[in-house]
Amino acid sequence: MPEPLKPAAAKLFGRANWVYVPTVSGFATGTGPTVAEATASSGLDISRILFEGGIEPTQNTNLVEQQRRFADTTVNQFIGQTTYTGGTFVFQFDQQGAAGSDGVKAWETFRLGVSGFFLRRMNVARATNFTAGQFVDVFKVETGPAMPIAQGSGENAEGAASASFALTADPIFKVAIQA
Amino acid sequence: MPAKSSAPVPDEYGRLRVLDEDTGHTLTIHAEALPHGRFKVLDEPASDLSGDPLSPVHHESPVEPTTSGQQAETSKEKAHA
Repeated sequence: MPEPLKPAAAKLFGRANWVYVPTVSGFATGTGPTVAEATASSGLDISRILFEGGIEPTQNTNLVEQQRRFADTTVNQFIGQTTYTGGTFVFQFDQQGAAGSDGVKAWETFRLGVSGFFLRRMNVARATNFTAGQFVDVFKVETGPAMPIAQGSGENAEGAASASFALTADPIFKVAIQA
Repeated sequence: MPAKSSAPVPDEYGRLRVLDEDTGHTLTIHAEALPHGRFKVLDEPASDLSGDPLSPVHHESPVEPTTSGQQAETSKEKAHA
């Protein structure tokens, strides 16, 4: 018997990006963002603005019990409802930063009721340009209010802000960036 | 005579309707996000009657969507088998 297949590791350490973009024109039809949308200055690559926890959307699928028939002695399952869940993200924030400066970019972007999309690109070095043909995951989100907090404590404490995000549509995974 | 301010005035929900000059899309943004993009402020409503931001109007749909993406480097994976 030949050796079982062992695909190469898709390394993500320093090789993943999270990018906020205000709109993805092809989302409703299941296509990925255009290069222009992924790289527009109206978007924000928050990969090095987010603190370590990053952004962690989750998925949960209920496993439900089937109705037991009268004479059954075992009970089986159905796949039930799937819920996509947002979460909380923590980003750098400079309370003294001037309006429009780098230190407040995320703060001024993520306000209550802001809707848009998070793009996740994995297994590409973080400083690599977004190009057509790369795959990304696309999450449609709405953000809640941001609150200033301290990230860390004592000697390594930094100014930060925390905000929640909701997933407002089914995400689409592994879609190619359009030219 | 006081100087006339040219700063755009957000609507009652703090939003502006803008043209994103990088993508050609028309969208609603929070006024504080204005410095963070190549936006041209439009003299149009930014929110609907219920107070929600108006949906984006896309410049154009992607032409000939790409679904295939990158090709796997099969020789690379074989090397690790």
